[in-house]
Amino acid sequence: MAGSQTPLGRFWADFRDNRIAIVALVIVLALGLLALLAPLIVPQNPYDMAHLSLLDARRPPGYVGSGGYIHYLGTDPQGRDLLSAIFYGLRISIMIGLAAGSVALVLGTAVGIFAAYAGGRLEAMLMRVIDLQLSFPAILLALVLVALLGQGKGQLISALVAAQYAYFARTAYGAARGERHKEYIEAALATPLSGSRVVLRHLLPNCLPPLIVVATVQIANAISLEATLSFLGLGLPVTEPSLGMLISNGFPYMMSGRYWISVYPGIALIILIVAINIVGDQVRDQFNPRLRR
Amino acid sequence: MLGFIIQRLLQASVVMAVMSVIVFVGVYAIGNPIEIVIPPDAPQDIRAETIRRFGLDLPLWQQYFIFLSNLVQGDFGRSFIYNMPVLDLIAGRLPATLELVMISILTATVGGVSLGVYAGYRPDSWLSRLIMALSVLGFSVPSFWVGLILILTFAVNLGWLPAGSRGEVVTVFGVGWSFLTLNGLSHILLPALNLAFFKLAMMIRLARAGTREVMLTDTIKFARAAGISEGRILRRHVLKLIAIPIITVFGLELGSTLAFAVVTETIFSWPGVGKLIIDSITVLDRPVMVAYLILTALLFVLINLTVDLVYAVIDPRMRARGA
Amino acid sequence: MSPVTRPVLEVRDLQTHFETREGVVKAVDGVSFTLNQGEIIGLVGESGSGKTVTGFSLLGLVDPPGRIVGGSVRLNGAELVGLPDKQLRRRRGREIAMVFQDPIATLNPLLTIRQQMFMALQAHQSLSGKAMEARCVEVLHKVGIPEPAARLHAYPHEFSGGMRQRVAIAIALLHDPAVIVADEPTTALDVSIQSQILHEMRSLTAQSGTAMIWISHDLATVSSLATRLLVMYAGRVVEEGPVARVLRAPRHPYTQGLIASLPATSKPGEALAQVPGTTPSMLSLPPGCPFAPRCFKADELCTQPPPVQTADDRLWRCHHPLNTPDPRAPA
Repeated sequence: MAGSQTPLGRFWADFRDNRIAIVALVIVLALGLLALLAPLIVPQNPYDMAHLSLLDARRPPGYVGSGGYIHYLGTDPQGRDLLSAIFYGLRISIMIGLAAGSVALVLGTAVGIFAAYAGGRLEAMLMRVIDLQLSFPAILLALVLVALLGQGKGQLISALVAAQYAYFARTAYGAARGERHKEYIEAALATPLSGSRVVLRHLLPNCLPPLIVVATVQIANAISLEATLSFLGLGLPVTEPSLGMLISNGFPYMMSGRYWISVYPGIALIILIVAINIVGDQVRDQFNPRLRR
Repeated sequence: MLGFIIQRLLQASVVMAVMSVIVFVGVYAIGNPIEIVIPPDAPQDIRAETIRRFGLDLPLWQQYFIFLSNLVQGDFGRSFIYNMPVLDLIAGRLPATLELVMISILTATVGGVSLGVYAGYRPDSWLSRLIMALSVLGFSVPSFWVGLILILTFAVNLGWLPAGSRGEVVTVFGVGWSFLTLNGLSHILLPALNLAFFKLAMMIRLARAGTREVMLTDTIKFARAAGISEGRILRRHVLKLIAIPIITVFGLELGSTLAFAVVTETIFSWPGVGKLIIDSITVLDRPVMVAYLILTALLFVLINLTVDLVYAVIDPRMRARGA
Repeated sequence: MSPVTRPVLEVRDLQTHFETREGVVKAVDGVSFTLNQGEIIGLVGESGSGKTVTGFSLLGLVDPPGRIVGGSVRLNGAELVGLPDKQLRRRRGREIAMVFQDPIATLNPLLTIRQQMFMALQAHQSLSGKAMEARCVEVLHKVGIPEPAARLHAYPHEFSGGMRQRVAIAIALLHDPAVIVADEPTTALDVSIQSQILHEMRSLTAQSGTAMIWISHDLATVSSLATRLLVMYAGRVVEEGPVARVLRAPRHPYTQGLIASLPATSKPGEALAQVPGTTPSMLSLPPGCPFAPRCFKADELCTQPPPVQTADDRLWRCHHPLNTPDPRAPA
């Protein structure tokens, strides 16, 4: 029972025990780093139309292109180096996932906690709406919103947020309701501290664990959703290809054996999503006392 | 029990009414509906004429009421693109989607529950660990990717199964079903598998978690103490006890299966309602969008209602409470 | 006096260990006793003493990571330890049955009583539906359920706590087992119901000659029912003997502590006596006698494992026993 440990220290020690989770975490961080540094490390800027040549289009992995360097993963129908395109695609996918996830987190938490405090009919009505939205599949909602709002980063993120905030709202509501009646909150409310101060400094930190779990899952979901939307042609514009769009670009070529155009971006996407999910699973297991043996 | 049903029906009607407003306002109020029907450089009088013909010059709430009254008569309007009644359009494509969804749900549930119960009964066997690892994949991997891999493996590389479109159709009760022919089955196999993947993974995890929890309860110990065989215990006690959470998820996931049919139908060029909606969204064929959304909402409400009723049948305690 | 009774259950040096990540827990460490026909043994101890695991071991129902590692359990002459599960199952419910603590947890809320009783019957016999119903009604009547034929079709949640436990007992009686192991069967019930059920259990077993092992932490309940008392501590039996004599003159300090902490034995207005200290962690037992840290008679001798001593139908495991008539016993 040793330990200097702060809760964070203990958390980390337990997390470390699960080797698969550690590997997953490393992968996520590595991919994040790659995405961040993409402009600096790629041989070719996939957005720079001036440097693309159609002569390089649809070439298999290992081909030496007109730029003079090896296309390790081949090229796509526009002649882009697939490796570079994948790095940039990662960058966009992660960015959108994080953006949508964080906005949904803030918005959903605010709604959930507000509902827990509003009480009475307002609370019941709000929760009914949230439940309704939860039972409606996110993809349909996102589809329709994207269709109506048009294409573009802001619109895409808004659509994703609208599709996902309900999960956060539900979780925050449940946590806030549980904590609200605990004695430390009643004690805090009895002091001159204003209500919102109590919420921010006492209630919120104790609602965080389940929210963090939901956040990791939802970020992975957002990335997956964005990829699906892009695949269907409803995501970002063609000038900023995310991983989903790269995959969709390559789809028609799969039948003729030029699989790499779709498969490699796909593998990158899968690794990203699965790694995030594994980390999320581990975080969730750690916060659940019942599963700890 | 009757009171329970009536209460639920009332709730359902309210939800439907609200949904119809939201859908209508959402689809018709954002953007300019007239854009796709006439070219942007059309002369002013043709614009005005078209606007009037489609009733788009009326205030929104009036448009809504016209829409609503038409709806009740079963008239969902005409598609802007196909210029035929939306209902006929949807009805024509419905059987394809229905059979796809049915087969995939069946596969996912039967397969998922069996595998999950096994994984929960013998959690430490290598097979169980394999099943759980695969289920994580099933969860995380976006379904369009699964479809891609399926096509790549089975259609392109192995050449066993066709890569898309629907097979031969046999007409039963005036409707064409393709799963009744061998050729049709070979066409439906991959898309159904693709659609089932996510649900399969979810069922496996649920069944496993439920089984593990139940196996540790005193109910099972007591049954064992009475000398009842393990097989009997699994069938009569465990399955019934895990049924409730599984049915909940089954109902919820039914909706998302329908939603993901959209993706699957696109990848496999399956001529169903899902592909229709994608095409409609891409070209902004609003009447079709509205009709699809409202029908989907109706379906959800019905599904929720059915799930509630099934609960009441399975769990006698619910009957006592809800009445 | 009484006819010669034959032993139905003979337990010799039973050992059940749990192999956990932190070490081996010897939940049952060398328990031995003999149960005769019609006899009721009270198995008493704190939580963690190993009494429940002993009960489970008798039926072969110990969950992993626990398992029986040694000893012998003879039921009606047949050895149970080492038998494959299939053969154990044939005896469970038929020759030896178990009643658990909380009937809400043991009865499946989604099945009717009839369905659950039928399942228990069909585990060992194939009878017609009518014959099964007749038997169920008979047994329900025996345990005191009013209108048994109608109540058969009810669900568990439609019964009160006491009635539910009677149903569980009825299920245990279905095949007229030779032994019933009851693990804290009245602990979850109201005090008034407790004494009712105790009384009924006593007459039931007297009538049918069923032997019982009544496991409990409550000395008071057990002593009104049992003929023999077994006191367990840290996986071992520390005292055994006929109930009246053990209660009147306990030999082991722990037993004396238990008796002294009963409300009935303290004077009104006085603080209740307690056995000082807490249950030991089974992972770090002291060498020698496990009770030593809490015992007022402990000394250096107690770091050696205490010897088992027997004298006319009593047994105790202590270096410094109390109330012994033997003049050679240490003071």
